Amino acid sequence: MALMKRFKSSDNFPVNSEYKLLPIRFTELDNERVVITNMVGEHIVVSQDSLNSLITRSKPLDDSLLAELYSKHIIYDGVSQLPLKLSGLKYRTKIARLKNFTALHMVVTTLRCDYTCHYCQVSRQNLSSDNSQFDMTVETADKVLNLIFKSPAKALKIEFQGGESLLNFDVIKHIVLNAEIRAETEGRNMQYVIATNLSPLNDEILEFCKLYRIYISTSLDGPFKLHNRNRPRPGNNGHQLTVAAIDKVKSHIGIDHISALMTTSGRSLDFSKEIIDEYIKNGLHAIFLRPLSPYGFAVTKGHINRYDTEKWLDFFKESLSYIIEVNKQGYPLIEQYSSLILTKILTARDLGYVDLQSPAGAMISGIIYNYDGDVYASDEARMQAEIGHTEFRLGNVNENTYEEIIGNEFMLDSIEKSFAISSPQCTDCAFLPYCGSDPVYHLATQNDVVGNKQLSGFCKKNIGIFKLLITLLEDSDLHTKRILKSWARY
Amino acid sequence: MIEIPSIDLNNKALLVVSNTTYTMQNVESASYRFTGFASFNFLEKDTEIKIEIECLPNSDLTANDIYHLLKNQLLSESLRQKIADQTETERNLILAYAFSNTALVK
Ligand code: SF4
Repeated sequence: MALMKRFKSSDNFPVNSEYKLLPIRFTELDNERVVITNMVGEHIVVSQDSLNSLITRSKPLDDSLLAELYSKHIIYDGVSQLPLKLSGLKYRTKIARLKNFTALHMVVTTLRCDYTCHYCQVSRQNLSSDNSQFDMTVETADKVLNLIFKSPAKALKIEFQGGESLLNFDVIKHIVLNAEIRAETEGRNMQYVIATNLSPLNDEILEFCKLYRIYISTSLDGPFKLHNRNRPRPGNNGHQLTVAAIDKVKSHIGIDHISALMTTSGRSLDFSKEIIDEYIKNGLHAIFLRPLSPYGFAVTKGHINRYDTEKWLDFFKESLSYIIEVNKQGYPLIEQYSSLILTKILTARDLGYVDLQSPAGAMISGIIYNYDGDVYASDEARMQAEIGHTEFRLGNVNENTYEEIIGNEFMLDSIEKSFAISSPQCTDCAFLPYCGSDPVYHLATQNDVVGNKQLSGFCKKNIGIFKLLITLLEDSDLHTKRILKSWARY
Repeated sequence: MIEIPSIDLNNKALLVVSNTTYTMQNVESASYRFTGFASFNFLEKDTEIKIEIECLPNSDLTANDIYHLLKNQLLSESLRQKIADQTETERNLILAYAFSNTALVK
């Protein structure tokens, strides 16, 4: 009561209906509603009717909607510069990552691998293959390091990949030890990730990872049967080895030093609940639901046509709904792709995920060095090169300078052409501030770095996820909204 | 909008709109949304823009479906045009604030 006396009722503060629009985009959310976003991705969902009235001023908008439109910087009073300055500041925060050119460096230590995964996208080699032919040498590793330290980014992340990266642990050790020395003298912050199936894990590797705070990223496709069918290995014991090794990493280094991701094969689509239960059973608190991507040998082996984007979206929707249920029952589990997107939707931050960047994340945010010193704009570009499409091969560390590699004309031209802001359809899309341009994907699937978004699986997948997450944020119960909001990294 | 009945012959249709209501850019942007289903041909003459719609083989939509969807899409494109016209100054100011005090803007 005392409070009521101190504050006047909201009727005393009429909302200014003489507004001006700020630059906005809109896209249909469902049959009745549209999503409106401003230049920095603040969003609001309104009826089609309200959208018409907002733009044409044909009917007055009610005060509560007007107030929300003001607060989300969709409209302003046409006088104050503050909303424009704030939007400018947020825009600047969103693109700040461009200063950190190139922060992620992926190093393929070997092509050898003990697994024979059906969906493998690179020309993996058997364990018995000659390691002098398919492993990165120390000499090449030194040249890779020289290139990494030419990047202007203050914070550098080196991610080791394969084949099975740990089969050439000597080169991993060599790179980490030398990077540490150089980082110390140059004042850089280092982060390391080893992407591994974990089968070569031993005590020496564990100790080393603990000492240098190396993060482990592994693959867990689901329960025993599914994992072993997707990821066969001699002895048919891949699942057993992976689960045992996850346990070892958790107890020796800690749960926050390991995460797993799954690749959705055609046969995974019927097992969303079982896959998630497997993550819970292994005490993991994050899962990354990844579709099979249309690159390299995954295409030529015919695995990419086993299911389409629509089916994958159904799988994603079903999985997400189960993950939310699991959270409600008290087990914290984050779906990482949703987390990246929710961060973009709900905050001014951008976590720099390579696929959701415009200008393209390939080369600007991440770059990959193959075992033989070849440099590619992204992991997907390396996979494409495996089937003869070498357009995004930027050079070789043994033959080219940093300037020649970074100044690769085809790459620069592709980045310029594929800016989402100037791509047909993307330029008008409300989801543009959350989305990206993916020249490597579109060249692989449509033979064009921009790509027709009507025919693009990349667009269909992302639009589906953006709409799903925004619908959940709008229509769900409070508990669900709270869970989704907690996944955004503020 | 000037309308003449759609022709649904061999899965083709014709939509005619007034160029005082819609610009050629509106028409192109609206049609782009359906390039997965049909091919388009545009002809601007006097006060009209003629849009010939021809369905692609195996298209999930008929020419008649696209005719109606295109009409709705044209409304959206015209709203987008209005937004762009009304907010050009604001867009430039926001970008100016975003890049001020950086090496990019002197
Ligand atoms: S790719 Fe699709 S979802 Fe992304 S901005 Fe372009 S049109 Fe929108």
